[in-house]
Amino acid sequence: MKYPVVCGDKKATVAVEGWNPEGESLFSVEERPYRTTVKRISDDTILIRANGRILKAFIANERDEQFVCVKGRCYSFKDTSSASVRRRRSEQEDRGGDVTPPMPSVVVKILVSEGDKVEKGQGLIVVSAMKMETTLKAPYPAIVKKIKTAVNARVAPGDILVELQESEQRHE
Amino acid sequence: MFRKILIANRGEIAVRIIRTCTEMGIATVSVYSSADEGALHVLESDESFFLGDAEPSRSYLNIDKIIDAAKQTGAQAIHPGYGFLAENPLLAERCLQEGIVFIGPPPNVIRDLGKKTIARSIMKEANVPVIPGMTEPSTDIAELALEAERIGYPVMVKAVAGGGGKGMREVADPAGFAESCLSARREAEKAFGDGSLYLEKRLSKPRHVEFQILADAHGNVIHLFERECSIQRRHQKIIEETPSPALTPELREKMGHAAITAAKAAGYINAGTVEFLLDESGEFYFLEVNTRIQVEHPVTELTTGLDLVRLQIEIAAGNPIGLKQEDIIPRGHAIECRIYAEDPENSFFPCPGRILLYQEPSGPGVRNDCGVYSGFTVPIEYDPILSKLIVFAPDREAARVRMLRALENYLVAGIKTTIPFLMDVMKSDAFRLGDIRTDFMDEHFKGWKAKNDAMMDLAMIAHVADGLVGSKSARSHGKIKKGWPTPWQSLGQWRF
Repeated sequence: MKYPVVCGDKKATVAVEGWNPEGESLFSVEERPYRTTVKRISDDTILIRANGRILKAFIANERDEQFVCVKGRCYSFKDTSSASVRRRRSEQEDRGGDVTPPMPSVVVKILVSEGDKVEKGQGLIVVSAMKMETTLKAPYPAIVKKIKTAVNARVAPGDILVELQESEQRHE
Repeated sequence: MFRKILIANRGEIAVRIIRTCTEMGIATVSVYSSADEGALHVLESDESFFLGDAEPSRSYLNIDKIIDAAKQTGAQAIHPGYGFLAENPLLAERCLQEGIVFIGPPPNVIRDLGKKTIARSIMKEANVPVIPGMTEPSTDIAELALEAERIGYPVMVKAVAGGGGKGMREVADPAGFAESCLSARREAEKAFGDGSLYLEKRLSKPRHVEFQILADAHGNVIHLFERECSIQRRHQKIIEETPSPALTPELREKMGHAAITAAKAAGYINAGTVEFLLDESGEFYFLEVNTRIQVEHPVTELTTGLDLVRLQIEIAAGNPIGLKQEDIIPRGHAIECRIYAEDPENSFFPCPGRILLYQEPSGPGVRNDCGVYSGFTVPIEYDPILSKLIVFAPDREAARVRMLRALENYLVAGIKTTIPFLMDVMKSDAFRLGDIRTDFMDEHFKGWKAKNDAMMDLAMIAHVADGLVGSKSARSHGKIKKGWPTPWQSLGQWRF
């Protein structure tokens, strides 16, 4: 059985042969074989013995993301089920250069008005997270179509803060 | 001794202070904003007082509200921790007027040392070496440009009221000077309400070495040796240790002496830190005095065996330090790593959010000063520090491998943290050899990314295995917690 996995920005295939919940199975990550036994300790902990190495893995789920933590490292896996893949794809398509904060943050300042013509790299919105300010910049020359936020608004990655209409010159 | 102390802070440092108060039999009052109703410092204190909105100016930075909280709860003293109001002379002054003891130096000392040019003048007067540069503030760019020529490029442009790297610019040559000054002035005006600047010579590849000092109201001043804090990002420390791998016993004695001279010259009382830059030739220069407990104070506590917060409280209560310089005999080596809610792969951008799982390391020589727990939502309004992991061992190498082991056992799931980055620093040759200067990050870890090694394979196996083994509770009944589909459910369309 093969399972495609998405870990951060990496895609890989994990193959499982002869799955045996009571004993050893053969897992392969991109053809790299691991003779593996798996035991669940609790809802958020599983014990893995892979090629003789024993490892405790901590697992936490939130929305369409799963975190797997081993040895001080936390890996984020995307849910690859159809609905969320569709959702994420359409988000990504929409996002082609949209103005969205990199982290949950608060809007500190709006530097442009609707109808403004902006250059590539021009600052549009200043957001602040944990005492650090970041300026969101225009990804291409554009006209500010709509400002969809306000000062002091709490915003998250994926929220489109400014709608831009590309200027013709981008295609020239 | 005080019967009750109010802690005007939050997070790990508030928890740290509460612990000592509890051990001293002193009742504690915590204060909190609307973002911190379930915060650890609130849960750990005896009493807590609501200040107001999450916005710092309406809560942790609001002097009226803090004083009101102390009066209403009958607290006799206020411990400011670090950050927020810790180095604001107005809180210390207000405490004095209201008959509440401020656990820190007198307001005039905080004010003098907070103005960097005044601090430089005091030190120059006392023959403590200062970095070549100005002792008078200026906002006039033309005047500053003349000074820059006199000092010689490269220069550092600094804000007189500065701190935390704000209003600070490095200028290599005259071409970019005016523009750097203007942007530093703007930043300083915004951050401190004071756009005055001064210039210092930029030293080549310096180390940041600071001395912990203690001074009481009876004229006793001692130092508790140094902390090496050269590893910084955005001019903020991230790894600290003691002793410094750079100091010889002779240099250590000289710098300790200078630190005591500096404390005496400033009329210092309580615990403080005298910061120096140490250049490649072994010359050291006064940088500034931090008039509060430092984030990195635990490394000093582990090597000296002292409780600095207890000493702060004793001194504030008017008691003598009770220790002489020769009583302070440090032993072993201590390292601190700051665990920040930041993404080390994305220029350490803050990463607030909910902690889904949290488990801290333990074992011999491991201390963890922490302000969060599993299920806590780290607010976006405040500093991204989650905790500080500190290790103690007989020597530096033993401390280094102990830190690595402890970091590997540190579990924080749900938000990005500096843990994987800190593990790579501990493994690096540059750190192992003690070759650390303030440009350490740019030199060795610019654009750092986590390696894709065998550990990622094992995580992928765990991810798939988690879906295969079923659960102890909900999962075995076919119900999946929080809607996470197992590969069993999603495998239909992925079957090869």
